[in-house]
Amino acid sequence: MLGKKTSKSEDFFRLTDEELMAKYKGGDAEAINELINRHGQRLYGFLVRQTGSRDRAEDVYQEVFLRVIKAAPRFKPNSHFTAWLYTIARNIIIDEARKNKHRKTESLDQSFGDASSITKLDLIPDKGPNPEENLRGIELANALEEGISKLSKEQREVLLLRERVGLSFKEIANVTDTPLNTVKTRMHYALGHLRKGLSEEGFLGEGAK
Amino acid sequence: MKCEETKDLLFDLLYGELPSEQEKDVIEHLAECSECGKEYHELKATRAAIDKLHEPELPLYLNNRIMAHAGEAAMQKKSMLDFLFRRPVATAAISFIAVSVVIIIGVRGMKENPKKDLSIAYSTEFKSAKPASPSQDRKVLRAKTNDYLSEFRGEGPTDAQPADTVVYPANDSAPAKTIETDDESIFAGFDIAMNMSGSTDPNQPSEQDGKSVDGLLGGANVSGNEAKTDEVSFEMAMVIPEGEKSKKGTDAAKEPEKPVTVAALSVTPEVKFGPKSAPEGAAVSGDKADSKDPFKKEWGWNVAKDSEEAAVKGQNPAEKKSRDQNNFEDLNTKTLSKLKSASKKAAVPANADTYDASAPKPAPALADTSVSTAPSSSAKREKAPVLETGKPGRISQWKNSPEKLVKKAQKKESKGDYVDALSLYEQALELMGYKSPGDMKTSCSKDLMQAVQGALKCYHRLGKTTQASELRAWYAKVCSGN
Repeated sequence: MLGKKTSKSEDFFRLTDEELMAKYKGGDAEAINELINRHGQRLYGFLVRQTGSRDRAEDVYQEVFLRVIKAAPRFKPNSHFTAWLYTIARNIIIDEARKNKHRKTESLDQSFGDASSITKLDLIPDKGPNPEENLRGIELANALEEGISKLSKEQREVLLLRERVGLSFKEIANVTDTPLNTVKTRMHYALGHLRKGLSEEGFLGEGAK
Repeated sequence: MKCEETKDLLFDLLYGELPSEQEKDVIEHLAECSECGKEYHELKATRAAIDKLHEPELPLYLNNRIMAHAGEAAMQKKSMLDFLFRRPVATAAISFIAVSVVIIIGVRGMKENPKKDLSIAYSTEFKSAKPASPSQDRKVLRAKTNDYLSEFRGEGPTDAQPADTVVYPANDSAPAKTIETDDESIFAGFDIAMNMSGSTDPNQPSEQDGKSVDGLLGGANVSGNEAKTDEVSFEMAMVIPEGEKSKKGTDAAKEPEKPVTVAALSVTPEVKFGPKSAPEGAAVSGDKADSKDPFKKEWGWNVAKDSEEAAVKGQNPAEKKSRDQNNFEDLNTKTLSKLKSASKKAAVPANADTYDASAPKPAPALADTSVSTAPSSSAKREKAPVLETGKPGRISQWKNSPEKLVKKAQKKESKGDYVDALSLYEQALELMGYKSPGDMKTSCSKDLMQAVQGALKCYHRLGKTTQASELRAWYAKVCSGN
C-alpha cells in the first residue's frame, strides 16, 4: 500500500484492538497473538488478584481467550475490546465462583485474595541506587498487595479496572453492570482504605521517606 | 469552601472529573488547609504506588495453548471450501495438473520400468474366521493388477489361475470375494506380486507356476481357520535385489546367488528370520525360478507348494525341506551380518535361527555412552557456576546453587508452604555467605535480594520477627558496604 514492505508485527502495532479483532475474524491467527501480547499480562494480574490463586487465574485466563476466539465472529467493530475482554473475564470468575460455592462460602466483604499468591519476583520494584530503598519498595509493594487483597471483591474489582487496566468509570460501570455512582463510591472507598493502611504502616505521610 | 465539602470532592479532583469552577475552589482550599492537602497528596501517592505494582509473571505455556487453539480456529475459517469458492479456476487447474501428473507417472512407470527392482512380499496370517475383509479385497485387487501388468507386457492374462480368488483352507468354505476396480494404476511402476491362487485341496498343485509377474520375489500366504478370534498378525518384508533380477523361466540353480538387501517391517512383536512353514491348508503359488529362492521360504513362501512340487518330481519332501532349511540358515547368516553392519546395533548371533526383535539387546559398548571430551561437553562445563572457591562447580553443586534454591523456595512459598520455603531460602542465604565467617564480603546480587525478600516474607508469615530484623540488618550492611 505504501510501496514499502513492513513486517506483520509492525502492521499490527499500528492497529487498534478492534481492528485486530477484525483481522482475526478474517482468518489471521497472528492478530490474536498481538491482542494477547497487549492484554495478557494485565489480564492475568487482574485475575490473580481477583481470584486469589494462580491456578484459578490460569484456568480463567485460558477460558477468557478461548471465549474471545469463539465469540470473535460476534464481536462488533464499534465495541471496546478491553471492556469486552474484562466483561468476559468477570463473567467467568462469577461462574467459577458459583460452581465452587458448595466448596467454600465467601462473604462479599471477606478478603478474597491472598498476597502470598504473588511471588516476590512480581513485586520487585525497579532497582534503585540504594538497596535499602529497594527493600523499602518491596515492603511497600507487599503492604499494598496485602491491602488490595483485604478490599471487598467489588471494591477491588473497581480499583483494579481503574488503576491497573485503565478503564474509565463509565466503562467500569458497563463491565460490572453497575450504576456509575456506585462504581465511583466503591473506588472512593477502595482508595481510602488503601491510603489508610499504607499510612498506618508508615509508607505515607511524614514518616514516609 | 469547608473541609468536609472539599474531602467529598478530593476523589473527583484526583481523577479529573470536577467541573473547572469547582476544581478551582478545591485547589484553593487545599492550598490553605494542610489537613485536606495532606489527604489529597496521600491519595495521589497511593495511586502512584498502585501504578508501580508489578504484574504476576504470566506462564508462557498459557499463551501457547491459546495460540494453538486460535490457529486451529483460523484454519477452519480459511477452509478448503472457502478456497474452492473463491478461486474456482485455480482449483480446477491444480486438480487437473495433479491428476495429469499421477496418470503420467503411472503410465511411464509401467512402460519404462516394468521390472522395477522392488518387490513386496507379504506373509499374513489371518486367524479370523471371517475372510471377506478389506485387506483381502486389497489382495484381490493386487492380484488383478498382476494380471493387468502381465497383459500389458503381452504375456496374456493369467487365466490359468483365478487371480481374483482368495483361497481358504479346505475346511473353510467361505466364498472368494472379488472386487472390480478401475484404479489399477495405483500399483503402476511396481511389481507387486500378490498371488492368491491355490486350491482348497492342499494336495492339488497350483496351476500358477510360471504365470505370475516377472521379478516376483514374494508371495502371499493366507490361511484361515475356524478360530473365532479377530487377531490378525501381519509381517512385511521388502526385498530389494542389488543385482539383476532373475528372469522368468530361468533356472535358479544355474544362476549365481544374488546379493539382497533386506529390510523387514513387522507389526507383530517378533521379526523372525527363520523357516516358516505354510499354514496347513494354505496353498500359495509363486514364480518357479523364485520358488528356489530360499529367502521366500523364510517368509512362509510356497513351502506347501514346494513340497507338492518335490513330490511330483519324485523327490522326498523331507529332503527338500532339509535343503531349504540349510539355505535359510545361509541366508540368515548373510542377512544378519548385513543388518549388523548396517545398523551397528546390538550384536546378533550370526548363526541364530531366530532373531527376536523383542529380545533384550546386549548393552551398547561403553564407548558409545561414555562422556566424551568433545568441545560441546567442555563448553557445557564452562557454564557451570564458579563457586567461591574459584573452581567450577560440579553439577550437583550447581543444582543446589542459591539461584536454584531460591526458585524452589519461591515455588514452595507460592503453594503456601512457608516452613519449607524458609528452609530453602536460608540454605540459599548460607550459600551466599549469611551467618558464615566473612559474610560481610558477600556481594549484593539480585539473587541475594530475592533470597532476602523471600526469607523476610516467610519470617513475617511465621512470626519470626527477630530473625527477620537480623536478616534485614545484615542485608543492609552487606549492600551498603558494596
